[in-house]
Amino acid sequence: MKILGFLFALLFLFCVGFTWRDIQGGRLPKSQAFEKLVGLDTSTKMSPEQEFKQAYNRIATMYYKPVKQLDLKYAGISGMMASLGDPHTMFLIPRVAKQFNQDTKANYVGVGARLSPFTQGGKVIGARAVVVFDDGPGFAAGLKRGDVITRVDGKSVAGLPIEDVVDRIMGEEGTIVRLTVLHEGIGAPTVIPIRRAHVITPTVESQYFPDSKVGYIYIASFSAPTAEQFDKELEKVEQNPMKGLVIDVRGNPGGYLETAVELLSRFTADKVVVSMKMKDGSTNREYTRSGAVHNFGYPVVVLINGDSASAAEIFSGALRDYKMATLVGTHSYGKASVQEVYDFKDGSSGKITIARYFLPSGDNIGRKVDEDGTYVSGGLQPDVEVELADVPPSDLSNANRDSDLPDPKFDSQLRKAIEVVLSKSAR
Amino acid sequence: MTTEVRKSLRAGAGVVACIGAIGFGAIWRDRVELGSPDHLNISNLVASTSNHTDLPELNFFDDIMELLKKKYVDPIDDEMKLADGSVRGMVAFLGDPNSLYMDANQYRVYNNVRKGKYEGIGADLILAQDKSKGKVQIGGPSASDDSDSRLPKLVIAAVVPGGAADKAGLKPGDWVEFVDDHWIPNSEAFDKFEALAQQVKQHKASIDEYFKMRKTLEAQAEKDVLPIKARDQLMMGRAGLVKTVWARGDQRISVTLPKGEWEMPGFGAGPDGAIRVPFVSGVADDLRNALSGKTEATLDLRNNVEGDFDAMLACLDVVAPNGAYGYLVTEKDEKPLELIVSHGVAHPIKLTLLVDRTARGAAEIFATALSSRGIAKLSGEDMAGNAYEVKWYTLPDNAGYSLVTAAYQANKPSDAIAKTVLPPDKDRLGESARPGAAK
Repeated sequence: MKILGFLFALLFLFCVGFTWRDIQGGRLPKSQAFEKLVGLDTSTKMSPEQEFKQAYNRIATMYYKPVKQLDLKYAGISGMMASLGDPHTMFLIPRVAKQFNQDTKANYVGVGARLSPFTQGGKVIGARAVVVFDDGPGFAAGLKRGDVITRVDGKSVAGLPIEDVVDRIMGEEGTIVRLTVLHEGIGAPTVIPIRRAHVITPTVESQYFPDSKVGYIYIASFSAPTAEQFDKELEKVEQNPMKGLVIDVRGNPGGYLETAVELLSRFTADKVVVSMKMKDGSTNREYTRSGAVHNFGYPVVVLINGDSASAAEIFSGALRDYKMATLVGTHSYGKASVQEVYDFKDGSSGKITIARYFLPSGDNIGRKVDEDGTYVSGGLQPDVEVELADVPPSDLSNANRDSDLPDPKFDSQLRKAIEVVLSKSAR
Repeated sequence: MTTEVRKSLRAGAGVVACIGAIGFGAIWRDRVELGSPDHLNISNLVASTSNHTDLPELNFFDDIMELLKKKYVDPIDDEMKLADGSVRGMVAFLGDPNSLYMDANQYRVYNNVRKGKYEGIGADLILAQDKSKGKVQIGGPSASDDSDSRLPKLVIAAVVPGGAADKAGLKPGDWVEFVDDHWIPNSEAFDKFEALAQQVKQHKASIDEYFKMRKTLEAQAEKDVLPIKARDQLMMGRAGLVKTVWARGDQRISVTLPKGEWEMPGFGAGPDGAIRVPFVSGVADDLRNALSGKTEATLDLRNNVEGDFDAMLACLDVVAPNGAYGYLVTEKDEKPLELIVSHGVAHPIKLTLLVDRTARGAAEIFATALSSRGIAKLSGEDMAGNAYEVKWYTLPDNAGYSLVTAAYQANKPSDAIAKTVLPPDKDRLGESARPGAAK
């Protein structure tokens, strides 16, 4: 009797071992595995998980070159998410996930500069500060736009990928990083110590065109601080006489839906800006809030192009649907879906499309492509269509301006936008 | 023995049994789900030293699949599609032109090609990485992990005699630039554009030329097609026409090709008396019969691009005496496997092997193995430089993938050369091998 009990205990423990991975994963054990164990399920049909594991093991052990197992696993997960055929559902490896998170929050600890690789004689010798944020600690310490960083804390960064340079510069808030820089990439190196601090990336920039009396606001993305930054820049341009405003969302990949809604609240209160159709068939509507409406006493033009996507399209589309702006440029990207980002414990993330959205007019602007991925239809069609004209590179180099912002002299779309906004203003 | 000792022994045994039961259960789960582990199946010729890497934490896949099922906006009906996608992702991650994921249709075509049965334009097309200048061109997987990897070209590996491609005068080494007016992006076009930009900077070319070329490239890029899809268009389907533009050096060949069904000549003597030996299963018996009583023979190994490794090994038994014939090496920390013939012939006959760049994979290994040991003489042109052992795996829904499991070398690999693949034996080929696809 005792022995029988012991045997039962052993059997039970075997089952525990057998289902351990399910227990760990917090789900019910798979009946299929048990059926196979006792020979009830003799089919050779594999479960998706088995197919994945088998291929994973095979490639890791049989392929004739060493394979980094973690990268292989990530490649498998990426492939799985890509197989849904939705270009916006994707897996982000930890490094990309970190960058993505930083970009959407537009808030991190660092020195407050945007870097790009600086090459000399075909070799990367350092990182060039292409933008230095006015309110960042780098600017305060004397880091200037165009400076080339060759060493971080005394260690050379020559040949390093730009992400690694950024990784070295970032660190704990309040600590000091020593950057060795060449001013404009030439001259004697100087060492600039900078105390790392919270940096809020500027996502909004503005300029004023005195000739036409038109204000211009560029929105790079819809990040967390964007609405606040927009208000600040709007105030700046409105210190001038305004015949019109051009809001530029060309190349704006979107960002937080919340931010787009907040910005639209400057234009109209208590209106539906977007309806989201969820997986379960239900509809979620987002409304602008009341009490934030700004009195724009002048016409507004929004500049769009093929890279304006997502929140940028909701912003532009809703403004047009409520007849508060004219769209100028080329058709927008056509991203009519909403994604949620899920963070996994190893630092990677999954970006998953959870809903499709419709503009106030009911339009679905979803991008359609043919089987080769070539654009067929979708996106917002501009009210006034204008392509970006070629500018000879020599002319551009003559521009030699201090700002990154476009110049109507060279930017045919901006020129048209100013023309359109003035024609509305004259009416 | 006292009862005390007995008791504690029994208790100890119980604990061990309990722990064992748990471990045993976990192991059995893997067994049940994954089947027995793979073995390097190189029959009787090679001693297997396959090593197995431990499974890392894998529940990830299941967890993310569950998340997708729960959150993704559209219902997910076909979970196997997710699994296939993961396999596709992992195989693509290798970036190896000989390790490819194929959907069910592609896999069907591939399996037919291995039997010599072609559809489409009657040619075998492969993705070939052409490496930056100044480096050795190797038609196969990149020998080093270059970050500046170039776009692969879609190159003809072989044409079926009498097939549409053959009739149009297309040759192995030609690569396709347009299929049905869709452009297959290639690094050469971008190089030319960059060179022009440099010339404009140095005032050696006009800015108008630069804009014109940019317009052309943009228009082409607007209508581009992935090489792997262009390959489908050329290798799939038995009817209809396909409009193509091919590159041969600086020359461009525009031709509209009819699709059809074509067959590579099978085993047997050709008009020149040479015996064609396609490496398909069962061919070793044919070869044995054909060679019996002969003292001398010429074997035609050309148009042998997707040969079966095991069939090739069986053929080695027919013509080679017992002994060692080179090495199957990996770039991992593993001992190279020796290619050993143990059921060979007592008295080998005099062999001449006809080869050229259409002798790839198993055919190239066969030719190199025999010639390097003085069993056979090579005649013809350089081979493809693609002496890899490739295995094929079928997935549950008839998709599949190929995987390179080893590279062949005739000579004992030292640490220095184990990392690269040797070109065919130079002495016997006259000049240094010029493998790779495009000239």
